[in-house]
Amino acid sequence: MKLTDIIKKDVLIVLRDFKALVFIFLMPIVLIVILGLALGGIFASDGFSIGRIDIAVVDGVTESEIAAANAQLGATASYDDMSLYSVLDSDDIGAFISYEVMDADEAESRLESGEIDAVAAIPEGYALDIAGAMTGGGNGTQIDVMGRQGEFETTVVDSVVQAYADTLSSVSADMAVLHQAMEHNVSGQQGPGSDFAAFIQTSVNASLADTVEIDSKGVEARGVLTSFFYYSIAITCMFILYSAGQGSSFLYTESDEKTLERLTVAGVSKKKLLLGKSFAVFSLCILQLIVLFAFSTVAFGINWGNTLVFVAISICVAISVTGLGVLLMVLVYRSGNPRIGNMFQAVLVQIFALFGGSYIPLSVLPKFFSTVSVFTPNGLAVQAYTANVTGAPFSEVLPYIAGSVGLGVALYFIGVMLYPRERKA
Amino acid sequence: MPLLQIDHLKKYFKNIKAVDDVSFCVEKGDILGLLGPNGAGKSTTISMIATLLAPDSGTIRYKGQDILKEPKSIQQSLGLVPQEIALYPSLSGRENLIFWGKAYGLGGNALSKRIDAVSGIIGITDRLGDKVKKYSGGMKRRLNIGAALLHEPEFIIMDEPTVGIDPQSRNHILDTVKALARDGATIIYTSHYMEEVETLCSRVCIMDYGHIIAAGTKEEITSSLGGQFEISVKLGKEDKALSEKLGALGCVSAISMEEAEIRIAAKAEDASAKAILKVIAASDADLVSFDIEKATLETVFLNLTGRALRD
Repeated sequence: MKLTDIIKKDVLIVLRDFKALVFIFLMPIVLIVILGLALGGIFASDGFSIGRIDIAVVDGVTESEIAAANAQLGATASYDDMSLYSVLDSDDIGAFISYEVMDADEAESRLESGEIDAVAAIPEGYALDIAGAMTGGGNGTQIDVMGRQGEFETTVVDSVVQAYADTLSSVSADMAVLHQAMEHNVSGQQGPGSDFAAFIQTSVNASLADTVEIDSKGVEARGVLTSFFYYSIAITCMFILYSAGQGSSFLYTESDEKTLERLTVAGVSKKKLLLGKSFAVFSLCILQLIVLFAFSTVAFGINWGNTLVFVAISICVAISVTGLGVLLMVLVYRSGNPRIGNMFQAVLVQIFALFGGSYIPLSVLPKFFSTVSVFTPNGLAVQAYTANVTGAPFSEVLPYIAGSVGLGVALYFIGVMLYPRERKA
Repeated sequence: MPLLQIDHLKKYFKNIKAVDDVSFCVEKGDILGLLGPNGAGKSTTISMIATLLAPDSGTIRYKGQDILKEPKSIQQSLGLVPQEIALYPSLSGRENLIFWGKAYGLGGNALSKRIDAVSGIIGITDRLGDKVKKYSGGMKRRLNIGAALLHEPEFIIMDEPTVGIDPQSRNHILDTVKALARDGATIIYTSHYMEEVETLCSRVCIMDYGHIIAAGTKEEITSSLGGQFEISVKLGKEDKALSEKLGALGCVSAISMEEAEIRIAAKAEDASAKAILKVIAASDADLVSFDIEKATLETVFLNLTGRALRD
């Protein structure tokens, strides 16, 4: 008997099971549509709203303060190059954050009316504090971000400002040390001279630019996501877990319906049987991906990004689901308890869905969820697909697809280890 | 050399001696009946012959080869008809036959021809395209047999193939078994229906509690009773007191009661029947029927165990 005969038979049986079809194909399509419509508020109607975040900057720094700060920094450094504006005016951030300087009252009013998404408040004395920090003195300072609590836009602005502040703090600590060293050496024979000062300035700018660039890549990359787009990926990645759930009963059913005895008498080896059923789960998963993504493509006109990477992700995701399916299959068979598979579908899939970002985007959930998501097949899949469809380089997708394969292989081998060496009669 | 030789086979499940020191052989062309009530050890015995279960001890040789060491020596020659319907309900009859044919290495035209031939033998040609779950119990049983015949096995094991089906399907199955035997197949046929075994089998092993309690041809086994009647007494209602009185008669060698029916193994003398009728007449029992038959395999079982086969 060929492996394909076992695969074909198992897939055919699932495809003729109306309940299974509802779970595998119909429910995800319905959920994609419902969640896409209902949770569209998280996203903009015509795209992910990061590109259109409008913020107000309430700037307490005066011109005279800037002049004083520049004097303190010296001829080779400038407050303008270190200010928040240097980040907001950058090409990367400017692509999705628009800002307007206004007074505090107007900012508060416009925030309340929803005209703007967040307010960044630069306190009076900020420029001098920055200059002081860079030259080894000064007090601590901070930029406050205000927004509507729980909204994604606020989180994004807060993240950008936080990244700016963190980098500035880090650089200022180094600068303070270097500044002291420079002062110490000015009277010595190894004074750094203007080259050294220029080097410091370049380092500050580079650090800020690097930070914002890193942040913006992730954010900007999501700029093409719509809610339908996101949920096409997230719900599909959740429901492929049902392929594993379907596979969980493969061996048990053969045993329960005594067809396993017939296969044994026919000389079909247990290895071949398990392998055949593994490929059946894999095939089901691939079939599910094809159907659901085809639906999303036709219904929502979604572009899936780099085709080769998309195919590679799909194969790797199917491998992780297969590993999970085989482990479940063996557990159900060993225990003789099909409820294990039912429990998985009723409870575990929901937990995986929550932690894998299938219901709510991971970006708006606490970081803990993102950390846990890499241990779920659907979480890895969601992150791999979203990275690819938003144009991320393959190097950013690679960890997720490698994680999928690793997870799948690990689960598969645990399943194989638990697979009874002798068949039950 | 017998086709199948079984020696001192044992299989225990914890404290239950499912098969306990069983030995018998099957000659080529035999239809061997394994007769016994539920739990006698028939299915466990054939599971070991079919390489599904490893015995605790003993040997099984097929054409002289130890199948415990060389399971493939019997697997390709064996057609197993399990007691349960071992088919895929959501696949059609034809899809099931294709799958099982491929399991035995058939394919292409050869498989198509065998499917045509087998579906003709089992009489389901016109329903091959229907899903098995839409079949009647009898049709499922027939397809269950058909799936075991695709590779033209020379040795067939049928485990209670007629359980729970209508008389028409049962007759069809019995005719199929006879036809297979005529074509030269060697068959082990297990049943707790004595009539089937008597009709089909050239040799019989009667099992009870894991042991073979009688073996031989039907004539050899029944003659071992020295000529006895089996008397069936049907009453209007169950009467244990009457059963006990009848059992105390000297002419009665064994007696069993199942609901309102009393089965008696008695010496083949007119006096036996008269004595039994006299006891019945003296009681308050409502006699519905009183039948005297020649000793059958069931009489043997009753005589040896004190129980009816269907107890």
